[in-house]
Amino acid sequence: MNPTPRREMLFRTFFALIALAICGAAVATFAANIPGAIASVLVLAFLKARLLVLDFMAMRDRPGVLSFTLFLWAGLLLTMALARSLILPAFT
Amino acid sequence: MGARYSICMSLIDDTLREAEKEEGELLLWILVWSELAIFGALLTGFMVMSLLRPEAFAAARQHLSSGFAALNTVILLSSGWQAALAARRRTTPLLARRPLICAALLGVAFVGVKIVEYSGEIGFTGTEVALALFELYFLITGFHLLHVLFGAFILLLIAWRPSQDNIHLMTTLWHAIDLIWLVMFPIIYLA
Repeated sequence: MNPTPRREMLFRTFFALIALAICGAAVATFAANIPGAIASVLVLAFLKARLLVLDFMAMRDRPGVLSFTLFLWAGLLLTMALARSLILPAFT
Repeated sequence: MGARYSICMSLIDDTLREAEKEEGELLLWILVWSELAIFGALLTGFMVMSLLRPEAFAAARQHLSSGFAALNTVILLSSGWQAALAARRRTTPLLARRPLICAALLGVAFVGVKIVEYSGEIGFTGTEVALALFELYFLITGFHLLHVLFGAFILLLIAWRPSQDNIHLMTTLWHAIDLIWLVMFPIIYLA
């Protein structure tokens, strides 16, 4: 029996999420001192959050406002984390 | 006359069911947003504290096990995948049992890894300087851990007596817990 399209799509999303998680961990471990590493890690985290909302929470076919507010929540906190990492040297 | 009456009754039933469903959906999103608001406030507090005491936070962060946290990200994503499989519209409640149990067991695995991680970190909380970070760290991650533990228990209960509405409700909450972790992980451990 062939797997349903939704099942296949969920598997592809899961695979992409794991790949993004490994990329994020690799950047944080091996390239932490390179400029832009923190921004890359935060962008990867946002991409993971976006995929989770759209595919795992099945928001692709639902009203855009709901998914937009979830992206906004994640984006706002991750942007604050980026701002913190940029202004932190001024505090030390 | 009898046929017209039964059509009317079935229309009323459908309308009431639809209204109940919409009400349930609204309550679900109120619950999800209250969780997101609480964790948003806690994470903002963590970031503000790390700006006020940068040296203490930098020193204490050296003792956090980001490897265990990365492993937990993979575990929670796998659990979320299983929960999404259970919540598919074409899946019957009985067929959803296996992915629901898998999602719950992966949630329990998350708790196990976190306890191992805590056992390595708790020894570094002795100094007053480190305590500032660790108090917030244990508060935020511990609160999230309780959500995972409780969520895993509820997933098992739903797997025992599955219904489409309960599966939808709990898997949506489970994904919200997953979303919180995805945002929390880089803020606390990496950035």
